[in-house]
Amino acid sequence: MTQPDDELMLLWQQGVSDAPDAAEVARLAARASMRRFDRLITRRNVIESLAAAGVLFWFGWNFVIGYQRLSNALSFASVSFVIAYLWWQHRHAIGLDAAADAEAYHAALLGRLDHQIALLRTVPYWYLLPLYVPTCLQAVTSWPRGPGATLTALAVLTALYVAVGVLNVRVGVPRLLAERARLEALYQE
Amino acid sequence: MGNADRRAVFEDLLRRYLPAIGRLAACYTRDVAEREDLVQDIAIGLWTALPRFRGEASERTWLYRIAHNTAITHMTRRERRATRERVGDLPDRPAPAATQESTAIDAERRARLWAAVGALPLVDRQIVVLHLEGLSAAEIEAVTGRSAGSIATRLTRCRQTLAETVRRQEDPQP
Repeated sequence: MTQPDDELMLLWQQGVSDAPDAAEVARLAARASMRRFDRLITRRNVIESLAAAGVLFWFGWNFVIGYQRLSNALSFASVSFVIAYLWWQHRHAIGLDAAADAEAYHAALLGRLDHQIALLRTVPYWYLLPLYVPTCLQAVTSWPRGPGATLTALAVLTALYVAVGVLNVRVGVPRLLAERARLEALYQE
Repeated sequence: MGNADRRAVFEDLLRRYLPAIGRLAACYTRDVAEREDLVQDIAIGLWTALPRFRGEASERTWLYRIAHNTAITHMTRRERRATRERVGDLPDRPAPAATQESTAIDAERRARLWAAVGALPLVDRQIVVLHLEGLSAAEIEAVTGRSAGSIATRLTRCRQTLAETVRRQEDPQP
């Protein structure tokens, strides 16, 4: 270690006191240990799974009791497809490892963003389209009040689906791309 | 690891490394409130990762990896933030033995050093901060994942710049 190095290190390390405040340590320890991430994540996953199970049960039950069998069967199949597709896409996903080296962590962050971007870009195909068809069928069969009302219902549903698709592809994707660019820029010389 | 053990280890880590974590956080953001948030995020990152720490890497390497990676995540979450930030003022505590005059000079030099480090590109900044914190070349390699050659080249270049920056204003212009 050279003399100027020692000097710089000393200057640097004098920036804050060497002995942290005991109260500060206790405060941070308490806050960190109170944040039960695992539990939060588990709870969120459970809620999502329960919601999916509830929707599937609803369509399945309607099918069993013979209420609008075709549209309920289609809806059941569509929701099952979306759930299966999401599971398939995330089957190899592993959480970010904060203890990885900076290069590996950066690559993992970029990889995760790329995956999210790819998923969002294709939302109209794997999410909206499979749900659109049975929803339209439901609309046609549930509201048989004449061609005008049916056409209006279809138009509203179509506009809704298009809006969701546009929001995902035209707003969500550019947002993620901007985040990716920021992340890349951090490591550019 | 039981919760009590985990908490004891965690508090011990904080006692030993909190000043270094504070300095590191100050390299990523000049805003005091945001710096506190970042320190807290790093603490949470350490707490979360603690049960998985098996000692394959040294404790210091492991801690700095988490701190830097958490800081990167923290930065990318902030949309309005500039990609390169400069260092703000740290809560400064002069060395007890210093005279008033030398303390003032040190404070000025320290401020220049912090500003110069804060102005470095991110990769250089990470390497320099680890070096200034006293990590060996091998430890820096383990934290950043960069090759020893790349680290040495960057360090040589940056150390020279930093030393010049700190010295520059000490010599009055004729």
